[in-house]
Amino acid sequence: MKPNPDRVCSQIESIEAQFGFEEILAGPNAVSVDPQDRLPRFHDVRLPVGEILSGLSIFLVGSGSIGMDIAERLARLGIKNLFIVDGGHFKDASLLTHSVLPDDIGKSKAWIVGARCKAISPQTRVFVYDSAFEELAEAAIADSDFVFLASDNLAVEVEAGRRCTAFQKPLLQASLAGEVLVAQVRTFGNNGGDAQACPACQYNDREWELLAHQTRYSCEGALNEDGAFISPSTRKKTRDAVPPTMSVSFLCSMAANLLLTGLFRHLFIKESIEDQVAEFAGFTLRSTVSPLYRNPECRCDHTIYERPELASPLHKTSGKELLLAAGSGVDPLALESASLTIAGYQWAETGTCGCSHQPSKIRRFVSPPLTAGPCVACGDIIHANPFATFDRVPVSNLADFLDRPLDELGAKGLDSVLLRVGENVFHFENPRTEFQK
Amino acid sequence: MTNEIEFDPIEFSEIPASASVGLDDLSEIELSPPTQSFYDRITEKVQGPAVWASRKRREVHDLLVLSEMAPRFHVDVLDPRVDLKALLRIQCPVPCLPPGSEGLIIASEVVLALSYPQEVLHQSLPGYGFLNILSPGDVWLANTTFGGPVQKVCLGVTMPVGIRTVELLLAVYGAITLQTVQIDEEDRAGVFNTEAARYYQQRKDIIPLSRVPFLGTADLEGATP
Repeated sequence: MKPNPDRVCSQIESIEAQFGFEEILAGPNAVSVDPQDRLPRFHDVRLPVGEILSGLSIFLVGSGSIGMDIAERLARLGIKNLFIVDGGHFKDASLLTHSVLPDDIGKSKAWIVGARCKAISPQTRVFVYDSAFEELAEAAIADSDFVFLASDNLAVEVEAGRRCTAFQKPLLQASLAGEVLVAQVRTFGNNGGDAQACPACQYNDREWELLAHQTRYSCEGALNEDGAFISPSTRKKTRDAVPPTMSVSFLCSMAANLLLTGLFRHLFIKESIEDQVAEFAGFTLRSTVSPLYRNPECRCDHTIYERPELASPLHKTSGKELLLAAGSGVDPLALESASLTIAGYQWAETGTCGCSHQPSKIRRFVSPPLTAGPCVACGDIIHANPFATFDRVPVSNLADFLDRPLDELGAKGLDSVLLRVGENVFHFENPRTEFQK
Repeated sequence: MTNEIEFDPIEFSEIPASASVGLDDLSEIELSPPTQSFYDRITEKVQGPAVWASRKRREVHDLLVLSEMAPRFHVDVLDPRVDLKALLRIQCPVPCLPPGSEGLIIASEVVLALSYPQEVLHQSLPGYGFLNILSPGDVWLANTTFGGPVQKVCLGVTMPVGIRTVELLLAVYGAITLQTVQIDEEDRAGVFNTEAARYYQQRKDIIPLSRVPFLGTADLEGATP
């Protein structure tokens, strides 16, 4: 147990959890209420509503004006796990659209909302991540039942869509158009097949331009506190030039409520989650539902990950075992079509140091700042050669090491490994613990 | 290094540097037979989803076309198997400040490592994520890191989604020759090398190091006026 940094909210206690999440702990004055005390008997619903709700795991991206309403309502439903991702902080103007008080200004959105949810529902395990969604490991959404998106940031939208497609997670996105008093929920079923849409399928050139405009990286952001370069694989966006939500608080709540109503329809009326957009127009008091279609020219990767189970922890698994678990051979032809990605590591073939700029062999996984110990000749640090360093390493480069466990090749403490063989992608995780099962 | 795909030197094609060809036209230009043969050989190894594989083939083609059009530009090595990687050489004035030197030393060629990942298709990537200077050492620019055998180059705070390799190449040429400069350390874009930024603030007289465009030849050895 440890208090979190003062810059966030010093009074909230938490413990570290997987993927960089912090789990918020219940405070000393926690009040436990049975969420079923006020649950109505839904007409014609024979399912055990309370039981289903108390088993739900929801992954929420964005806890601003819409997302915080969603989070608090989920807590009031007494769900099992709530993961909240938001790198933002409350500003003065947040008082106008968010359910916050002046004391919350300047504090982390994820932490404040997470702490409130934990206070509302101590039985809900609440996990927070107060940085950009794109920096989170892909596999972080893998064990959630649904992903909810409540962010205006197009880059986040694209990435959430891609990850939900890859892991086949239903994605429900709440948004609004304040100037026309419209609340909107887009749903992406990710039910498999080639026809499934993603949020970027509807983008035109202007939206791609806007996405680039919203994403800014300054040179300073590329250097860490010691002045060393942060690898592009761990790059941090230094600022997002995303304009604030222009709306009124009741429309934000309307979007949140529309999303949760959609969730209830799916859970208890057994309506499947289609690729569609549901809109409520406040000026006309009308709602409409329109289908969303897959764009065959979509720039996003719509690859669906397969998730074979492993018997051993990832770091003790060899490349050959991964290939075999993926049903692939280990012949040269198979190796030519395969690549391996290990989050947080790059495969370095060669490096250079200060004494001679001749390449030195490294041939192992290295993590940022992508150095490989001192040179035997001059003692200077060897820097991985960027041309011969791979985020996604062609498996043919590993041909001499296929029998060796990944930790012997430098990759330790692994959460996930991605293996692409031809058109198929396999996502490997550590064997599930009893708790996870 | 294993699986390095060496690029055999090629003859420049007959396309004159002055030809009125834009970046959008590069894919329409045919490669010379030896370059086409090289292109065919390396693109056989392209991996990845169809949209990315197709994009890499186009990028490789465009880089090779440009290498035939621009006498100052050479593609030494290409590896398009997973991410697109390339070792590139550009002949141009490169400002360097080795430790102990009294003033700038201008090298005549820069060797660059290009990393062009699949995410470029749907993400706006950092301007410092694409190109590294491998040679010469001690390049003295506000937008390159300084020290160590690998120097990062920053090309801007926002990069278009799907930016093309040839655009990156022209941007880095402009940055190295100081045809495009950002030497204000207070600017939101930031600088990698504050000392270099201050140096050029005092030495605006040497900016730019060259006014010759990328396709031009006036500054190259043996060029006729």
